[in-house]
Amino acid sequence: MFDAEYDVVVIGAGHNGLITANYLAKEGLKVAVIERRYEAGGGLCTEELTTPGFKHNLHSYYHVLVDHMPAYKELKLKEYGAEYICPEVQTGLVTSDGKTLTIHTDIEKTLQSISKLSERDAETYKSLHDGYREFYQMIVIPALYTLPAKPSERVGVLEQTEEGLEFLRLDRLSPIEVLNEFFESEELKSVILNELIYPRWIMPDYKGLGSMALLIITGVERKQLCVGGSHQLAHALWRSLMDNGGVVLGCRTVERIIVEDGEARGVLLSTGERIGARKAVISSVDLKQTFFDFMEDGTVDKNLLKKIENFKLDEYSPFTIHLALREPPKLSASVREPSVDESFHLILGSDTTDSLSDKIEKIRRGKIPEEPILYCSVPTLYDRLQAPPNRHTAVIVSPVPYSVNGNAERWDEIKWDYMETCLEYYSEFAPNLKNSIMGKFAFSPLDIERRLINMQKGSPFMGRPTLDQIEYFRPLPELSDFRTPIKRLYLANSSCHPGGGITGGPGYIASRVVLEDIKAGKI
Amino acid sequence: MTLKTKIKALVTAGKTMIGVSGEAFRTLENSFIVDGDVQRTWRLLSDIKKLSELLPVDKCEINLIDDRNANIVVGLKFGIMSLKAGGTIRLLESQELKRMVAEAVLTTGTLKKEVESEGEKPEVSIVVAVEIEPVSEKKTLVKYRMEFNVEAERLKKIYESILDYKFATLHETFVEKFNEALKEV
Ligand SMILES: Cc1cc2nc3c(=O)[nH]c(=O)nc-3n(C[C@H](O)[C@H](O)[C@H](O)COP(=O)(O)OP(=O)(O)OC[C@H]3O[C@@H](n4cnc5c(N)ncnc54)[C@H](O)[C@@H]3O)c2cc1C
Repeated sequence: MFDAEYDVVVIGAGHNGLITANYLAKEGLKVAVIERRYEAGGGLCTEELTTPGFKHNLHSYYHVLVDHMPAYKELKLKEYGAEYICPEVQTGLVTSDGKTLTIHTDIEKTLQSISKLSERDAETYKSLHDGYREFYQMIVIPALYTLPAKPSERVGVLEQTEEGLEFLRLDRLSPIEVLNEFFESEELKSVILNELIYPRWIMPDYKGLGSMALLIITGVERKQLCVGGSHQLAHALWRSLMDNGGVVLGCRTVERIIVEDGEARGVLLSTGERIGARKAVISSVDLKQTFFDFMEDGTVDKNLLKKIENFKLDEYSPFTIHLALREPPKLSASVREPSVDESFHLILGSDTTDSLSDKIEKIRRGKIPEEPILYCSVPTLYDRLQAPPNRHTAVIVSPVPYSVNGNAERWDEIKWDYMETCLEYYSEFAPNLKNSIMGKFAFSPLDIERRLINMQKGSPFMGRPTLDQIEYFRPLPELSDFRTPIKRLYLANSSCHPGGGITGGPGYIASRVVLEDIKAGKI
Repeated sequence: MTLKTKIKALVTAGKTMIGVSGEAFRTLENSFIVDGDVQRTWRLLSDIKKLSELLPVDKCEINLIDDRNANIVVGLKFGIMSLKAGGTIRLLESQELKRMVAEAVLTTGTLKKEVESEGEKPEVSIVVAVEIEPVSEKKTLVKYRMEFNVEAERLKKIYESILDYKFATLHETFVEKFNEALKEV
């Protein structure tokens, strides 16, 4: 009664789906990944959007957890072609009055830059960096790749020492409260807050996420770009999956999960094909599709559906501009601070924490800030494979609301104008920008959702990382172990711990859980 | 077969150093040359009380049970958090002036509750094999190999981080302290 049958069917070939599939195939299971698009990768997408030869990363363009992601090492993804470069000038900020701040891989250089703004802040930064780095490196980051601990256990571990209690206090605050307590420089606070906004989707006022500000200071997560474009990571995952005996069935959309006697048995595709799963169906797509669209009425308990309905999506969506350039943008501020031109991730439009907060409030109300917040990068400064010789690409990300004044369709009317507004603003800092543009392309929140239907409402993180939706509460306590009330149906998506972004976390943990259930004879 | 017996079987089957088991989730090997002859080096290595003072940890208490077994408590600090573990060390093999193998089985105190709530054992087993050979009259080569075995996913990840990011420093500190202590043997 099935057109094809596998041990495991994974829905969605984003990096999480591919990672889960890889680990299960490595254990000898027959695995198929069903992907709606013509290629695997999801948010690992590189395309020649503007002009042939110029490669643009439509979604993720840098990955901060490559050093820590178990899959990268264990699946030998470097050998499969996913090589990374770690830019020395990780982040730069230029204010409208020309002040600069740069964050480097070398802490001493970062401190030098901070001390130009405030000697006191540089000292505090160093003491926080040194004091917390090992804790984040050894304890916090590893926890991204294990099932989330219950809140009391987490607290229990830390409350045994005074320093632990102090950490718990800071954690209960919001990132901006923590930064206000430690620093005086508006530029420094702004950089750290923006690092949390993109690509972690953590807003400055999220209570209970104060410790995330410390994470940024420790520098244990480093921005790295995949040589040749982000899609190379998807390629590597795909190749390794094939070597392990798995397949990706592209151009196929899952419409239903076939549930019989309370157990997931396979999936029904939009083509009418029925694909069987002897052991497990794993959904690496969003909660709404998984529990509403894929399920027949009455399959899932109403109370659970209510809670899932309440699961909040991201507070902003990234509007993205891709440029093909004759030459890299040259910032006027680089006359005084040359290294700012090398910033892999440049923050503009965020001079003070107040102005940043004002803009965020506007976005929350569905308004587009008159003066944009921009995150700009020229990947080709570091990776020559992403453009023809002596040419460059740039990507500009601007946080915006998904619905403009309550109307998401509005993006189709205003996107080209908003692109020009952003370019105009960038040009104020880099006067050579406009004349150097050979091709441009804009990608709105609506386009995100159209391309990747799991990023509903242009929500790349697939769930706000607020206190009620992180760790043990992500997506819900009863789903936090990646199992669902439907036997043989598992989750491996960004709505699970540790969340969205290219972390490889949900996919990795899900594979452990499924293997554990197989070994225990539960499925 | 429990974690412990698996490793013991493996050690007994050992050839030059511990046999490769394919079981240990991480194996580390390293060597260093010390300023002392083989006799002095051996004396220091086999004095477990003295050796425990040289371990690059924040806390190490050893209580000898007999000449092959001891109880141990160790603490390692990571900024604001300490990992504490306690258990036993057992000398499994000793060939005078040549080689010794010991196994430490430690129960983690700090994350015990978390690990147990996941139905796993909060235990780590570390088998250490040490071999020494003369380089010259006054210099000795010390080679060691450590096999780590951890069952719990949560602990495995933490140990991996420690080994990846801290092991080189721990090694250097140990060598430095060892050389210093050797002067007094
Ligand atoms: C503009 C933008 C910029 C970003 N920048 C960064 C960044 O710089 N760094 C970073 O770490 N993260 C970034 N992100 C976030 C990151 O891309 C995502 O969080 C990440 O891709 C999520 O991975 P995933 O595997 O969970 O899901 P996805 O990558 O979304 O993969 C899910 C897959 O499932 C497929 N699918 C969906 N529904 C179905 C169905 N019904 N049937 C079959 N297949 C289906 C989709 O086509 C997709 O391929 C960005 C996102 C966007 C949109």
